[in-house]
Amino acid sequence: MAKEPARVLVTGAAGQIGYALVPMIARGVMLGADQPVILHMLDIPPAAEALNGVKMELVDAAFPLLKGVVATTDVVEACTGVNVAVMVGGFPRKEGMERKDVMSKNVSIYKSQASALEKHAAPNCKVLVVANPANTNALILKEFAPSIPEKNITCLTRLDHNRALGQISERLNIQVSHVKNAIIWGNHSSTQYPDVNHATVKTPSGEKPVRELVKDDGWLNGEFISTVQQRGAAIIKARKLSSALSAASSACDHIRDWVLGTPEGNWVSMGVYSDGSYNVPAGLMYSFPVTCSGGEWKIVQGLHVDEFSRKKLDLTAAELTEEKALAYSCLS
Amino acid sequence: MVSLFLQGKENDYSDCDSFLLLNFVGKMIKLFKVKEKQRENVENAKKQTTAELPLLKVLSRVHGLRLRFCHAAAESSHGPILRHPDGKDLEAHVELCNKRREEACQSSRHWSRRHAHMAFFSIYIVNKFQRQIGYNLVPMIARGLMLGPDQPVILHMLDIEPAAEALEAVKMELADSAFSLLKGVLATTDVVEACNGVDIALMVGGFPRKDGMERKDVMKKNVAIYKAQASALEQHAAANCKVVVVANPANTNALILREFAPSIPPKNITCLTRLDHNRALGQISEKLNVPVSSVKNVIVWGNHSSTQYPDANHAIIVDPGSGRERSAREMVADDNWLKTEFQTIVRQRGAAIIKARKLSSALSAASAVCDHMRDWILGTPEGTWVSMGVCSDGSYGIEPGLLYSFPVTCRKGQWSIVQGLNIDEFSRARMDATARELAEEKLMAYSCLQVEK
Repeated sequence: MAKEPARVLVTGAAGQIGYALVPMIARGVMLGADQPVILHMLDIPPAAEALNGVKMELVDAAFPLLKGVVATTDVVEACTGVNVAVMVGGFPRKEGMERKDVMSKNVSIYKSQASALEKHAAPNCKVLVVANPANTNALILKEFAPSIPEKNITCLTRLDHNRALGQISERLNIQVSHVKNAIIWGNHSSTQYPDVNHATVKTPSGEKPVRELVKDDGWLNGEFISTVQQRGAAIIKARKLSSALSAASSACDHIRDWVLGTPEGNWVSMGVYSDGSYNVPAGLMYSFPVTCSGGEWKIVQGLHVDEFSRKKLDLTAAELTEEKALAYSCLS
Repeated sequence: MVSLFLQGKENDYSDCDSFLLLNFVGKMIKLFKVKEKQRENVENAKKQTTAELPLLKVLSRVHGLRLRFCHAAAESSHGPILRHPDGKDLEAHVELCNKRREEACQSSRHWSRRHAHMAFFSIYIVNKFQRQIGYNLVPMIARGLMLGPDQPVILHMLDIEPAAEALEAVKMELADSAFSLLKGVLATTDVVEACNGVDIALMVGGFPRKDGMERKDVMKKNVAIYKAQASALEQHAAANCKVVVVANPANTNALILREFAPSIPPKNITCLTRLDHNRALGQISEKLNVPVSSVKNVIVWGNHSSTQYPDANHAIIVDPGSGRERSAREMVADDNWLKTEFQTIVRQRGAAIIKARKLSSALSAASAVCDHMRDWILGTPEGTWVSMGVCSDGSYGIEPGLLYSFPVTCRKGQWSIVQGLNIDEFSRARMDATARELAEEKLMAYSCLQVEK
């Protein structure tokens, strides 16, 4: 018995992250190989022709799971009936722009998309904000879509989480599938804190802590952190374009684990609405370690936070508080 | 003469991983034997051994065992002999392990497949990373969309020197994606290194046609590229390597590849027309307003060019509810559309995408490559055929030896041309026209080669 198709919205779909993302969604990577989907793709009028080109390619790929494509520049049409919204579209930072300028542009975009989502999306729509500044865009979205449950609005730090796993696996020369339970705390920016204090590696003799196997606290507290924090810039330097492939893949991971649940004994990192856990100020969109079950995420509680980590957690929280103030000042 | 010393943990071979590795090793030894027979030149045998070594090193690292190669001085009439560190004969032990593995397989199905092809499914992707097909393709492969969700893969990515930094960035992004099926990535500009041990080769790279270039110029450039890659593949790829050529002129590039890699079975060299096939399915589905998964058995005949012939005469629409099958042609009820507009749209779709996107179709091409390989290796569903550019055996009156797109079914890793389809006059003319173009391209390619020689 075939399932009812799920409607998935991708904003900024004509861009390169969108281009990498839509075939993954259409192949069932995001919601499972037995979940038919209808794609809603939104972009701005200057990108309308390119967006139509993407729609044509989706038809040309004859995806069995893809039951329909809506390609539009109308935000209401795009949001109607969607069960999942992946907000990739945003105003990118250009050379010479101040943080305040980028913030100002994005705040107005997310304000208007918030009301469209609130009015037209399916109840219990799950939202993932990708476009930077991800945490603060998500916060604005939440502010202006008060009837969307706050637990349904999240932002992407899974990319950083996956990058952290990748760095550990390269360092230890093992398969990445054997590393788990890294944590990304805080803002998806250069103040993020990649924390492997609770991460483990599957070895033939059982689960071992990463710290024990790496045997190099200097690296774990220094270069490892800065590599993960600055990986985005490193990719841009090498590709001359930002990371689309890995961002799209992580977005699929984020939604899939949220909807289908995290495996037993595993947690992942998601930017979620803080409830004050770990002394992080409530009311911020902050990345925490979470497990997912029954379509809901839950912050992993009771993890020990050492002094070094505490400082890092607070630093990134301070930046988020600052961004929040900046965003509100743009609005008034 | 090669001896293999295996050092396991505590000499305990009851571990599952060890079984499989030993089984591998057994297979590897057989491979050596076969290759030694094939190559009379001892020098080549040694080279092959050296080439296999990195692969085995990867394997051994992964399984936590150490492998050491040792060229023993003494010749043996039995070929390579396995010796256990304390002198026992390991070959018998390998057989025993095989038996135990089979028994274990009865009880737990999953791990036999998980490891069986590990490190042997290396996929070699040529070029086009900056320009997107490769970039779209690698995450699809790493997610198991080409070979199935339980088939681990090792990617070999090759590109030209100017693209080396971008290629390295793709490797970084693959690491950043934490794909559980991706067991290794090789990013290189060295074609020999790239071809080493690959089971599948996806030839996406070629010389694109630029404004002002004559057909002969494009042909000359591509002939040179495919000649070079042919010998590298032939010498270094795995024995039953399956090849799909994507870069245009796809059919003729594949022909050249076959010419210069005579020891690769001709049936293993194909070219991509699945994109056109999928486009044809998409057009029928839009015309009839049915889901594309309900449409099947279109055919794309001939050359992946403007002479291709998309044929809906035998296409079928399956009702999703009842499973009832109907002729697409009957349901469309517009033969004129099928002979004119339908043809034009499918043929010119590539150009239409470029016009809209300002870039060529990477997403759909990458997806079609996955479909082509997946169906070839895992088999086509019952009652369904697909289009593949394959070596003509004279079926349907097409000149043998041309790389021509036919309707095929696939089973157990082999394709076979669907026979006995009725060909009407209109179709006959179109099929012959595209065959003529291919014969012409073949001549042009050979003339470029004469100049080369």
